[in-house]
Amino acid sequence: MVDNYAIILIMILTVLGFGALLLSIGVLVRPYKPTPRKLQSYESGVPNIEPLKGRYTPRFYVIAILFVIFDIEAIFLFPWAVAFDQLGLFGLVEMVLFIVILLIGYAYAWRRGALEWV
Amino acid sequence: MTAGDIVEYVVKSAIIIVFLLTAFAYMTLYERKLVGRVQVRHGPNRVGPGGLLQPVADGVKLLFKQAITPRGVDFPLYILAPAISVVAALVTFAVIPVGPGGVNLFGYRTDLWLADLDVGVLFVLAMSSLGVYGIVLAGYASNSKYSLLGGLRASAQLISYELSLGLSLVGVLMLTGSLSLNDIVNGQGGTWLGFIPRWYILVQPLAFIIYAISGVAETNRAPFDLVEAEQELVGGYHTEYTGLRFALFFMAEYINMVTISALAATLFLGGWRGPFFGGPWWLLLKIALLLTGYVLLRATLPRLRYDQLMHFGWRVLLPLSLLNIVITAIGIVLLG
Amino acid sequence: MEIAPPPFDLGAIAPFLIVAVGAMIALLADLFIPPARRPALGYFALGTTLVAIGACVWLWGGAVPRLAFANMIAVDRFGLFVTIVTLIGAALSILLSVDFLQEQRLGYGEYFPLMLFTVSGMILLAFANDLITFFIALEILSLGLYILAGSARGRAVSQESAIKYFLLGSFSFGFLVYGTSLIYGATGTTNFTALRVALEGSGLTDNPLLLAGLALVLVGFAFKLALAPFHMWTPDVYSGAPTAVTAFMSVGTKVATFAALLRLVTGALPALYADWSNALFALAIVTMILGNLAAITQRNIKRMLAYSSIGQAGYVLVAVVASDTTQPGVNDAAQSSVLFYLLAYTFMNLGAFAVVVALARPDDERLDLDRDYAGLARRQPLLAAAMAVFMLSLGGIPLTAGFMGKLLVFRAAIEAGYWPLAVVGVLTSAVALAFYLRVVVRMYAGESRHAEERPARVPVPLAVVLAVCLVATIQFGILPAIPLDAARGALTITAP
Repeated sequence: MVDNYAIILIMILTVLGFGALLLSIGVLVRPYKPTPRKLQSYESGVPNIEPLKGRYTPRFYVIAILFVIFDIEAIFLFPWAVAFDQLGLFGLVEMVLFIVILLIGYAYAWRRGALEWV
Repeated sequence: MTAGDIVEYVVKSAIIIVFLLTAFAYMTLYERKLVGRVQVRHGPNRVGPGGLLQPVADGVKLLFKQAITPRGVDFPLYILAPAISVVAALVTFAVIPVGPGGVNLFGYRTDLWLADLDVGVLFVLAMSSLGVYGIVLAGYASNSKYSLLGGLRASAQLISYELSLGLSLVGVLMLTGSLSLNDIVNGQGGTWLGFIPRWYILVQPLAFIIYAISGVAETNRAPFDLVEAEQELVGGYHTEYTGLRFALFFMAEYINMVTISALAATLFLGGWRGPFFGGPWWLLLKIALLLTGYVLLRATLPRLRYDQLMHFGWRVLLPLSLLNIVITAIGIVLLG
Repeated sequence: MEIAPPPFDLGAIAPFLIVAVGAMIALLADLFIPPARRPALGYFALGTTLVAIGACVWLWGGAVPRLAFANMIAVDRFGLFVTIVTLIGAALSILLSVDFLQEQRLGYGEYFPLMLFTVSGMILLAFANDLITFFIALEILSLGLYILAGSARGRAVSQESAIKYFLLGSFSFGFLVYGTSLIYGATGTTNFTALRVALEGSGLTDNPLLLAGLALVLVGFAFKLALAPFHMWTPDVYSGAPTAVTAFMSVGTKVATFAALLRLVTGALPALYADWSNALFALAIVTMILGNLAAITQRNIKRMLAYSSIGQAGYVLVAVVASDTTQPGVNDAAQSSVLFYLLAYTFMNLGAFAVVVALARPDDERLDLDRDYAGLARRQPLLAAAMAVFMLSLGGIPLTAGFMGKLLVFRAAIEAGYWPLAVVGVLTSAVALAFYLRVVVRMYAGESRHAEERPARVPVPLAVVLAVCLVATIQFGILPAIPLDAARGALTITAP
């Protein structure tokens, strides 16, 4: 089985080689005539008014936290699913409990407006 | 691992890459043609017979475009971002079996897959998560408002739908008892009543629907293409990219479509299995059908608003996918 | 591949389950009941803790000690005693909070569920028989407290308190986890029972990995217990957090963490006695001196109580150091004095904080010793008398629980041969009287600044807390037999 990961590595290297080839051809043949206007960030055709401050709504942050919680849940569910036929009813009860606890958190997030996007 | 093996794997990788790049090129043409037909137009038909050389012309054009690097970008990340997107998209395909193992090909015995990871499903999910980095970094490194907002929106959308995508697979895993894509395909061999194929879509219809919807969202395709909503965000995270660098993002998007379709075929539609002729042809046919579905979606549906998109992902798909898991578990326990 | 479901013994962790389920019900209920009805959640939480105490009593008489969940949890009378003390502290803190929350407009429903989750962490901590369980329990406990400390969202000091607590708490977890991994690397196990077996008569006791791991774990403990010189966060966190929260975290956390420390060092690492007792010996001396000296200069009552709690932790630590398992009689005296001191500390400290809560109203700002406490006896004689009792008890004046606790601790230290600890303890106790008595003097001899104001009415739940703490403080000082017998009965730290 170790070999399989080596194969993946070979694939990645091949992909990288391919990409490098593609990009280096591009460097050889394409023109390069920069002008100050050309090098500005895009601002709908008018000169840049103010620099980028990089502030954005905290909702993205909330979504990211929720994602982490539920993604970990998914990771827990994967091995459970694979072993499910051996666990039987025990596995079912345990997992339903697990999901219920998470759903309580989900209901909380929903009610408190963490899923609102306005 | 001998030198011969390494050559074999390099050749196989190259075949996959060339296949995917060709698929990407002609997918763009197919899409433009089909959307044209839906809108009672012809689509591109000037370059080559029936427009068949259009992708080649596009490629050459992109190759000769200037690569403009705007001032103020974080250059290493700026260059890394498209590379990550493409590598993640291409490498995902490595674990998808396109045919049975141990086939005689030109007098050479080989398996019709590149790698048979025993955690293939996890690998696919991990790679698709890696793809998010490309988008976030592109948005962050570009030093542009549109890029930043586009990147953030894209990553929020991707992670939201990744949840239901991953959870929709749990049902299939419970039926198979394995994370290996080969085992999953083999689990779908045979028929019920002699003529109905034992495809998982028939026992996991809800999971397939959730997977299909999440898959469309994961690839940022219409009606979930808010990432590139021209009216609000110009080009989204790739606003500041030109020429080949821009083409790489485009390439990643289309290759992801192919991969998501291939994965849908593998997980729910029996993979390369089918009556009359087996192997890669059935897989190709299934992928082509699913891609047609993609294009038709784009041709017919308007774009969602962003709040609708997030609500749908978090309030509809996520509970549904959990429900699907519980139903599947109860079903397995009851039916043995 | 065969997978056998582990046996599970839900009865063994009944107190934990009751509190955790209660927390979840409270969390859900909060989402659906109108804000005006939220105080009911407090009484629900109170009921949950009382039911959990009932479960502890049931287990006390039942089949203990027993190991459960693959030896990750040890249910024994030691753990049950600590759990009961924790639950009493929690119940009193909840009563303390009901009116406090309404007055401060902190009636966010997360408060009581978080408190219950924190208590569930404390219970798990008392039962933890594995470094992993222990770590998870500490995480549960701390995460809740971080948020509770910042629950007065509108006040900058509360936010500062939460952030400070969070940063230093996470930092200390780093020590703990790293130490755990080193111990695992040296011995191949994280389980207390297995550790004990692995270390007995093995050549491992000089293993540098193991000793480094032990040192790091002890540093983690020292952070959590606010032992000097790892106490820097305590005054700011205690004084910034809403007073009811401070009361809760000053007792519950200490009690449960001390229990875990005692279980770790005596239950799992008796073979390393020479190493950990030396380390804790130094910590105890520094803690007693620093905590009590620093308290003298404080004018803010909450900061003073924070430093006082550091000093008190030093006294408990003295008894922990004396818990040498090679000397059975001494060890028993030392361990029972730890338990008794924690019980006494819970009542007297909570009582003191209850008075602070009562006086700090209406805005949780009246905390200055000179300005707000001077002349209290004339305005509110009952409150002043109660505060005097708690101060005297914390200072260790005879006929109070604090005196009995100190007596037991110092006697155990002398019996175990640690007379320097006892000497430092007595001396610092004398120093400590300076600031405890100063409060009493201010209250009875000072000139009141708020003389024109009508004395604030003490709400009924708060009065109940004061009464319980007062009775317990005096009762345990005069007739310590009942809790002491229970503490002696609780000495069976589950051994293999």
